[in-house]
Amino acid sequence: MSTEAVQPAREDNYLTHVRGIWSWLFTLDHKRIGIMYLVGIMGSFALGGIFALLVRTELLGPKKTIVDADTYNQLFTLHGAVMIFLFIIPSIPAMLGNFVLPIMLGAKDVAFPRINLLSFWMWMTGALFSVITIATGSIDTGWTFYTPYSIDTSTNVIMMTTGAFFLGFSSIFTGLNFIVTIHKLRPPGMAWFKMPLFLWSLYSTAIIQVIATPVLGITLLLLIAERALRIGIFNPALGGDPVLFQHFFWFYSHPAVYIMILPAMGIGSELISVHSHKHIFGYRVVAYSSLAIALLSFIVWGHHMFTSGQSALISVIFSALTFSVSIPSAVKVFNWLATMYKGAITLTTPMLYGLGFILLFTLGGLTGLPLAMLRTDMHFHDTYFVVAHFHYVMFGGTVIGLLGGLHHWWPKMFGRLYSEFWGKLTFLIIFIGFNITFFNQFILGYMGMPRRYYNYEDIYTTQHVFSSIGAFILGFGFLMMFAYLMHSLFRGKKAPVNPWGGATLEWACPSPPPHHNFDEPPQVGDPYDYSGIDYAPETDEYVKRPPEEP
Amino acid sequence: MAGLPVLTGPALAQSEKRVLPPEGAPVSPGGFDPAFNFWLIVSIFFFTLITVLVVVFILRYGKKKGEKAEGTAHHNTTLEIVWTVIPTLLTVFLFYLGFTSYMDLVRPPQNAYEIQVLGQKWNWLFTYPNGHTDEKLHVPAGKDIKLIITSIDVLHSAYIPAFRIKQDAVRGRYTYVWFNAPTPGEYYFFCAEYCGTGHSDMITTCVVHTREDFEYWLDHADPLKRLTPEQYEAYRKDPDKFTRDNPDFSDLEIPAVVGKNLYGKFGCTQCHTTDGTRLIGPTFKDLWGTKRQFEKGPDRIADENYIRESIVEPQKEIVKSYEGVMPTFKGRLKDREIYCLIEFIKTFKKKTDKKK
Repeated sequence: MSTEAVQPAREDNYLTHVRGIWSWLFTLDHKRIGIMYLVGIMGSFALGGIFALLVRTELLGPKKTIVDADTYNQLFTLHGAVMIFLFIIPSIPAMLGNFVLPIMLGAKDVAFPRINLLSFWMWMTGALFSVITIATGSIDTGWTFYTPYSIDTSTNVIMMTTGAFFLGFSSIFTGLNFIVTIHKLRPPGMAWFKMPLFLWSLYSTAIIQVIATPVLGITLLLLIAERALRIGIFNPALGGDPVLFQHFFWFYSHPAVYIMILPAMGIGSELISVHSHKHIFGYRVVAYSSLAIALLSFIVWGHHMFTSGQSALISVIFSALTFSVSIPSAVKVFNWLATMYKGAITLTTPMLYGLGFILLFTLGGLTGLPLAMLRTDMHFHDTYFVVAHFHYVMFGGTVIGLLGGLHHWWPKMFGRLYSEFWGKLTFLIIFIGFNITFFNQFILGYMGMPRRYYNYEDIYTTQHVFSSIGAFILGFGFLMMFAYLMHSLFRGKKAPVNPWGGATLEWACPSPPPHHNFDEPPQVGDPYDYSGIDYAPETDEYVKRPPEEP
Repeated sequence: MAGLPVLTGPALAQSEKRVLPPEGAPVSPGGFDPAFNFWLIVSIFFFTLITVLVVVFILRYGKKKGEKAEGTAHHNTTLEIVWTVIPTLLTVFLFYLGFTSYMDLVRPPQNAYEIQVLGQKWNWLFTYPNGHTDEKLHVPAGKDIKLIITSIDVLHSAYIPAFRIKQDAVRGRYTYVWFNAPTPGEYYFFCAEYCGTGHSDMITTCVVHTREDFEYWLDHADPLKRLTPEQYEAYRKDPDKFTRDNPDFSDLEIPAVVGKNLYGKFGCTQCHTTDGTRLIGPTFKDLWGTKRQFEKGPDRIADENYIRESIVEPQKEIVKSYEGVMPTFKGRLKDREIYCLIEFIKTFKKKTDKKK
């Protein structure tokens, strides 16, 4: 049978090719680097999640519940900083992108395997600085490090920003590597518009990573200089301008929002098409919209500063530009729906995440509109409405997309299947827990509850309690996921080459892939043409129909 | 709180603090509700549409493994243009709704009642034109109120959710927001920009009085009311000497009077007159609120930020036909003193302004 033919009996794959801890820590294999990122990044996610649960526990009631105000301020700062810098920015590109991108290209590795390893160690260095920050006085500025508070506070701002500086370079190196890999290592026959859409989204993301992230590096160095040397650029006491910091910071951090969401959109395109077993609708439009979002993301940063005192003219221009980003995002959603239309939808676990992604991202996108609208933002800015909005985009969009991708490629990465029953049940728990947590926060925001509040007025108690209950449900869902994925890893059924019926090249490569990915260069075709892929019920897998059959 | 009923009058004694807008006459600047409601309708429509389509497609096209898709064309130009153009038009309209009412919000009415708002860790201080300072914002109902906001330390943000307005307080510059609340009552006044340990306790009240109540309150809060006419005259002549001689009045600090004193003490009189005479620098007469022309750079209206910058960075913009010889007062004048000088200069604004 075909599985036997592809998978050699002695089980030589990238996991078993060489052994020992050093063969992992200094590997140049993109797959192993991807797996190391997976461990590190999901570990950071767990850490950030624990901070989130502590924050939500404190907010179960007004006044002190479990910690004092200063500790609370550190908790929400660490939740934000860990989730943004350690988890969500590297998440999809570094862990899934690293694993999947070269295989999708039919390549042996990324263009610069050594830089790829350097990028991982940059991430480790950044993570180390973050851990030291937590151990030595923590930080309480919010993940945004706004001046002059970040200059005045006695907490360890320099350590954390140094960590973020390293993490920034990790991101730049990954982006650089992906750009070069996509340009130079596409196989013969794979023109730009024959590329899987996940690669288009990674490419668009990489452009932002390479262009925007250096600005973050410069800004953080200036902040460190301001704190250490009192140079007077951001400090109003020395004639500096605190709002200038906000411009610098958001010049990176708004595009960074798209570093987070664009790869998830790419995963969305893969999930919806593969599990609907139908060609993606409007391929070119979806590809171009990724590029459009990447480019537009650079000219909308001022919408974070409508109440900062920046000139009204500037605010009006940024408001208008901001609306332009919503168009390519909306178009993508319609394309996914049209892909499902007249498809053959199989409700697998990854597909549930794909559908969850569409719904939650849509809600996240729609609730961004009143924040782009000048008059309504005057009310919603810095309230829980904003918190709810970006969690719908970041969690409902990116994390749900990431989990979809993880479940989609899990059989490929580890050669094992997980329990579909537990997978679907856990999706449901996470979906419900998430909505209980964050939908309530839209109401809180409408009622004027400011964010980053340790204490709150009694009128807000009900929604806060619901929100905290939702967070605990969410946390429980992740424990379940950890449990069944661990079970899959050690006891899971062996995964076939193509468990979902995908047509991109990674589904032509054994599960798990051998050290060099492909023994022979794979046949490149339309990545979304499923007509030649048939289901083999006796082995529960999809197989390519031999080409000689008509 | 105990003394509040006396100050607010009996009408407000039983009222509750609000975060939502009062019922009845709308608060200015308006525009929030129409923009928000339109967005809400659009969003509910699209979210319902997408959810229904997802559910219908799952039910209609949900298949067992191995069943083939019916399939459609890989794209459809007409359809794609339609679903690009419709959202585009909607967002243009959403922008327009937000934009027009925002322009109303950023242009305070000419003769609004001005109150200085000072943010500091972790309370708010409101300074009235007569020098009274208060920890609550007291305003008369139905009158345009302009808040001139600044901070003495980190960023803060003045936020009255019931009026749907918010404006950051930034050290070293002034920001503005205005409102007109027709309904007496008490409204929450939050700090919305994270500022450290006491951020979530940096909450005060905006008390909207009826006009009569406000006057009653102001009369009792007015520090001037404590002075006899002779004392007031003595204070106006030399506030420093007066407060030295009368320790009971050591906290008396009427911005414009203090400003006048500083105007003499710091030697501003050498170059700037108040009667229109031209000396080395421009006169203060009719300066406030007029358009200034410079040797270099675009014209500017003389407002709080302009005066402030002219004091701390006098070389930045040189008024046309003058020499840039003024030294900087950065570090020599405190923030509070600069504000007093601004209030002093305001007293020489063109008289016609008041009738507009």
